[in-house]
Amino acid sequence: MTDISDEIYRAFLSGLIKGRQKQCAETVKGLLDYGISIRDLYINLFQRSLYEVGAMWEANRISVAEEHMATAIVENLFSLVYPVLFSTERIGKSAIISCVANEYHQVGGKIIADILELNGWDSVFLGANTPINDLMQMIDKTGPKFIGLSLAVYFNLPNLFNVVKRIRTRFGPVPILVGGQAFRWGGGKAFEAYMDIRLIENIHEFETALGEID
Amino acid sequence: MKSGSKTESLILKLVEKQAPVIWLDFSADGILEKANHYAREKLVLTVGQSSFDEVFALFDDQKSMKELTDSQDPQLISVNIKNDLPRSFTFHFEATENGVLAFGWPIVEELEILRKKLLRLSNEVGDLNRALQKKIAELERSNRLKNQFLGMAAHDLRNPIWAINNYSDFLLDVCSDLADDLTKKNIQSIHSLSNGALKLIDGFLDIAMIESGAIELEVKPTDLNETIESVLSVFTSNSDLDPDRINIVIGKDFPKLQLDGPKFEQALINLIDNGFEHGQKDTVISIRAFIEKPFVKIAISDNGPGIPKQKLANLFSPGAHRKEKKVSGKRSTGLGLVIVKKIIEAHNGTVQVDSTTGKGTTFTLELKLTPMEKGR
Repeated sequence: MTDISDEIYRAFLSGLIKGRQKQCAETVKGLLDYGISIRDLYINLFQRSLYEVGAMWEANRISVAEEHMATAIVENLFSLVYPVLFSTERIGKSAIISCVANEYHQVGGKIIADILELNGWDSVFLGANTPINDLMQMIDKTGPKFIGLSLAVYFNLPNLFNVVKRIRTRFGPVPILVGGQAFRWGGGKAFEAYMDIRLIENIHEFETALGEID
Repeated sequence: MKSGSKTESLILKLVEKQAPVIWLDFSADGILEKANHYAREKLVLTVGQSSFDEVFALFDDQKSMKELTDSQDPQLISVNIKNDLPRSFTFHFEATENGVLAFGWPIVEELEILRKKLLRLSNEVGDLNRALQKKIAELERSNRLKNQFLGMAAHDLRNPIWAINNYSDFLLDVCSDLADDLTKKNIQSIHSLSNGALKLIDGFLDIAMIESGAIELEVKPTDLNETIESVLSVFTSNSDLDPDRINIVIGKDFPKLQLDGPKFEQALINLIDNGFEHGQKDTVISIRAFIEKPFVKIAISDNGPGIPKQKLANLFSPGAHRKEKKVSGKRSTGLGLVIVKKIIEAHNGTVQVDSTTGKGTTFTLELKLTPMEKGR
């Protein structure tokens, strides 16, 4: 169920493709004024439009530049939600959300970090192409309840293996959740046992997993 | 590829009609004779009219058409674009039977590098903004907790100190004939100190409540003359203050203002008290209200000793004048002016101070007139 009509969604998507930041911002502000739930906004506007933009690029209906522009606009629009997002009641748990090395698509990880905040967690968001040493230092410094790793491109899988191995060697059984568009064609579940991670396929599953982490 | 082949024809056609490249044919004397579709759409040129120097944004020390043609190396050259900034292309110049061919293509690699850098910068700005917003929210949470703690602590302290104050007051009554002078003096000290402590606690409670938003203003049309009369009665009835020490200049037809009367009175009391308590024994206070559209201004002036320049910057900070002693000998709580500022800001107004050492101080409260008040 969503409060975002198809008309609003289509107009928003069109604005994204055409690079009309102001128009897209007005749409989001209007929805926030209406009282839309943050979850609905993230899943049914931001995530849905980004998936569709990605599919349009894969079908060569838009260029790389247009795809990046649309992504950048959506990332900027998150800031409209931040005053509400960061004022939610804290539950005293923290997690690190990061992209692996050479992973330049960070918007998925950012959405997950924001959903964490919505659930009262304290998120440490390390953006695109996080060097592995920086990630290790941050884990050491903050002692998170879990580490979330975002992978948008399948070819970065070796980097994911490397990161997980390093984390396990140094920090032992700390929970590692992995997700992203790299796994959308399936096959990801096979990695779970092999890498001792948990693969998350959607935001709903992610929020369920949060409830299971002490 | 055979000369004149179908493939060559197709390529030529694509270059002529569609490709984002620049194909320009110049005559021997440098006049543009032909341009492909992309060049005609984008560049500032007219076929049959524009010269070589007009098409290319060449500066004085750059090469001429002949020098560019003689050079075999591709050249980086900027061209003027219609309704946009100049754009750089890589050009090759070749002498032809009738003149010069100029063939240019965009610098793709450079554009890609620029695009990636912009994307990275955009990500970094977004990430920094997120971290900043998160920090702001954390600070607001800490501030709320601080105010809650302040309020709780002050509230819990108030009762025992109130009891001490009451008991000491009772003892002063009872002991007036019974105790020796030293004992009476000690009890008086206890009473004065507990009075001071109660004022301090009340100040903290006020600040905590204002900052936490627990106080909501009850704004209604308020007669300023009546408000000031009420304030003056606090000073004249509770002491032997000479009424001539307070001068008031407010027009009789002064419009009613949208104020929370009791809170505004508290702000005025604090300011007037400040003027007397930090002035001399004969200090005179003037209160003047006037309209400078779109604002109403209320100036509270004294002819006291003034405030040194170096103290003005922190005047409205808590504890700024805690170490100062008043004319009465009592120590300042350092909260009176803080409370004034918070009350006036809650009314969407401002407080300004102007002071000259040896001459006096003026506090000006500035409030925005509502449309109804402006109309008068």
